[in-house]
Amino acid sequence: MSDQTHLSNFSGDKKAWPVYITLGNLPSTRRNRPGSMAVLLLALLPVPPKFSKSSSADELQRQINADTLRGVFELILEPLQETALEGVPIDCADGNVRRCFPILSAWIADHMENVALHGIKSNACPKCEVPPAELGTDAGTKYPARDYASFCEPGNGPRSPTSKTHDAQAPLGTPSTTIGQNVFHGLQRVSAPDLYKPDMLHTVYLGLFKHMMDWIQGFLKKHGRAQAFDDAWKALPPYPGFFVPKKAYREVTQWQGKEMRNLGRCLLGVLAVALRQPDSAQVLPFKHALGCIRALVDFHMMAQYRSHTPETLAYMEQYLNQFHKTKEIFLEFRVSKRTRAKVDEQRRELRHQRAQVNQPVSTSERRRVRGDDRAEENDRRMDLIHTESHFNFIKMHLLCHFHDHVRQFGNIPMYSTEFGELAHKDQIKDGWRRSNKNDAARQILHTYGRQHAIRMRLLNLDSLRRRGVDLPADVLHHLDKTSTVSGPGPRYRILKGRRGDVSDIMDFCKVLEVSSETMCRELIRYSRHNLPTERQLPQDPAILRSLPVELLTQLEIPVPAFQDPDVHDIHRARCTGALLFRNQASRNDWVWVRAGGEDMYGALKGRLPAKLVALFKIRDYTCGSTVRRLACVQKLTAVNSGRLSDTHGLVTVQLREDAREFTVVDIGTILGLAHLIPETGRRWLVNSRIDLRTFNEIY
Amino acid sequence: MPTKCLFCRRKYTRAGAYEKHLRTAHAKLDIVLASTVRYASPANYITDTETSLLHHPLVSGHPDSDYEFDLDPTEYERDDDVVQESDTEETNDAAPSPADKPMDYAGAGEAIGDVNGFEQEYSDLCADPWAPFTSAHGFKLASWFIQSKVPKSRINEYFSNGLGDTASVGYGSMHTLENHLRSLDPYSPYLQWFEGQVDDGSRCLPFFYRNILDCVRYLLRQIAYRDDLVYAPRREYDSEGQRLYSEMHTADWWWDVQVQCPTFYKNPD
Repeated sequence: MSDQTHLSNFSGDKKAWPVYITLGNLPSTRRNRPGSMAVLLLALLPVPPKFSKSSSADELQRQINADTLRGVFELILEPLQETALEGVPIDCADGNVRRCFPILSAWIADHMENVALHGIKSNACPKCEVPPAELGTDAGTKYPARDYASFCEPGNGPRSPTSKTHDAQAPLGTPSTTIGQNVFHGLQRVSAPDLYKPDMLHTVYLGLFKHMMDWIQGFLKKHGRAQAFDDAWKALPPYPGFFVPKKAYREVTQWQGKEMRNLGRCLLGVLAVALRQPDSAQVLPFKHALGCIRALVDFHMMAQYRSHTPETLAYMEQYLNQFHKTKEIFLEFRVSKRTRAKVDEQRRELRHQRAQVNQPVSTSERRRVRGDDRAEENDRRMDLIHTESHFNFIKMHLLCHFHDHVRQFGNIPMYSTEFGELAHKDQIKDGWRRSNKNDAARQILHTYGRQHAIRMRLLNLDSLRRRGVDLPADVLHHLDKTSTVSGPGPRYRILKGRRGDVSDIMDFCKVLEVSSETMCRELIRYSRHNLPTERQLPQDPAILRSLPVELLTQLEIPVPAFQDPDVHDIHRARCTGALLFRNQASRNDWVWVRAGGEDMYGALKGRLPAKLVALFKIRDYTCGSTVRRLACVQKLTAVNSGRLSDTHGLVTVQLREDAREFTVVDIGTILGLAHLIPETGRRWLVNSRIDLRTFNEIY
Repeated sequence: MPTKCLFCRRKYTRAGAYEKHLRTAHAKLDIVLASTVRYASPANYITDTETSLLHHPLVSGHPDSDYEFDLDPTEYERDDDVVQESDTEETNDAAPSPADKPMDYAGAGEAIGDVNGFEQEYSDLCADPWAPFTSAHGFKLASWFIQSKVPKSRINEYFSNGLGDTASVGYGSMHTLENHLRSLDPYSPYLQWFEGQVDDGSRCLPFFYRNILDCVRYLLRQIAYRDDLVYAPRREYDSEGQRLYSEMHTADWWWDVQVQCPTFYKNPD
């Protein structure tokens, strides 16, 4: 019987360095749920002061700090040493005693904190001994796991940044450790390199995506597509969980994790729109750039999966390799200041040389020579940039540990640093705000202790209730109000928001601005195709027009969450017609409509995107007063029979010139919201990277 | 219903996956491909809704209310549900292949004894859910005070101004309330704080920590997590026999560590 102890650690506020603990035995869906109370504060440490670099007086101070840090962690982790080896009987919640082996298995922190705790240099990987010059190479090469033991042996002149006794592997001969101490080295059954957990937030969103946007901006500027990118960016439609950008990309000054996550969901589509219709010189670079971005975006989508098979892991690896293969296209935008200075110097030298050579006499001759010079200058500049620039930064390298990590420790999202930041807010920041800022630590602990006791009792009672234990009525009543665990929502489509100004088809047509003939024709067509003969709507337009109709503005569609069939996301499709939505523009959302068998429309698998025109109910008096819940939609058709494009891997859809004004469908055939990025007036790109579900369905 | 591959024992619910499988695993059978794929596509959706409309008498709406609900949950059931059902069926009765079944690590998570007084404690909690508070009102009031972060001075004011009935609530000031709270959590001794000092040469700073082992004990002991706790690593497989990596206990590390640990152990008493 073993038991994982899973520590996480954040140093947000400079005033506190909290260390949290939770259990790996709790499934992550339960553990990371807000209000699960499964994350306990383990320690509150003082934050060591920061030092300016390369000051010799601070060297000693830094040494002392590292020693104290090690001492503190030794003290905290000490109880684990013996029990991890021998096990210890622990009472469990189901009334059994089990022999537990509490083992530290994960340490969730951002890179800089890993650096401090593992005692490595900031450009070193905590997991393996990759030399700094090869951080940007592809994932194909494997490096040996970092051997922390060698830095702790007493004979090695340790704890000095100058010790060069190790790292035979590293071609540069520099050990990547600074002070040579790993806080976690020497723990029983713990392998220090394995404690490092990949972190989507810092590695992908705030790391690579941020870098990538710099490259993309450079790339767009070079090819004069920056405006097109901004336009596409501003025209994004809404989607559940997606924050519609209100400003152009270049106007946004601050990018945080949340915005970067948004960006990952729409970047590929926006870029594909911005880079449409390249001229002949641009075809190849555009294709490479889109291929590179596509690989990275796909990689980040796969990394969010909560459940992997060897097949999905292979895809992940393949996307990463693809990204490494194609990233060269952005190399020229990775120019450092030093390289730029070199380029300038080179140009100056070249000009200087030329000035010394005698100028040819004739004007045409001079023009020709000047043209040659410029071409040469450009060539040499590109050469220099290509040899000097590189992708060797740490976040580039960390990606290659992602898929191995899944095999060893399970899905990646559960180790996200975000969940710690939640605990941070609850357990530390609230307490800090309420304290008198004087000896705050004690007050923080005290404040949270009270909260904890109350909430834990409520949780325990709630779990009793869910087991069906007989509890007094007032307890149940109280739990109903306070329970954080909400039951499953409704599993059926709901129409909401009735408009008062419509009572029959004539009103309905007036609001929609369509002729009643068209409306009747479509209704009859619907009933003929979809309803059994004896339940069809009346064929006579006069009777049809007399049927009562209600017009509604919202349809709630429960869509099963990806890889979690028990949870349903509610998609709220709005259809306000010409009315304004929340005092802003009117909203007539894009939805997926089931339009045929799975084998139709290529990657769309029998579904077509459509624009909602109206949501309505019609009561059929002639047929036992049944109510039909229907929607008018304007269906788009797939371009190129729904095949994925070679360049950007998205499906293009269009509104055909000869398309019918609208068709009537049952709301049961509406499958959920679609995210379409407008390309031109009648063409759209299906953004399949908007969520995992769509990503998994359209490929 | 999942369609069984005509040439091997795998099953597929989605046409795309089946087609891909045919293309990769049975590449030689090009000729039959066109005809088989058609079977895999599920029944036309439109006819599906049609029949469901037929079978369920439709609920008439409430034309006077602003919001209207479709009360009959089956009325607009999506075909996704149907697919899920068939998925579970598949793992339960069909597909006798042993690879589909999750494999638990034998002997891990074995109970070695019973917790003393567990039943007693359990029934105490059921009988008197608000202990040590004397009444439900007392607990709810305390819960409201604490969770809405009412300051201490305000709580004292509340009682000193006679707004609350001290007798029925059971406490009359922040001080007495805190005494109640302290005994509210029977395992609070596990969460005791220790204080340490750090001397970095220039300053002396206090720091606080808990006993890490007691934290583990505390979490494992909570009834709230009873149904969720996992005690043993396991290997899970999907319907196609592929290994699934999802939660921590389904991945390799836990299994590997479990192998190193002494597996089975009976307490002599």
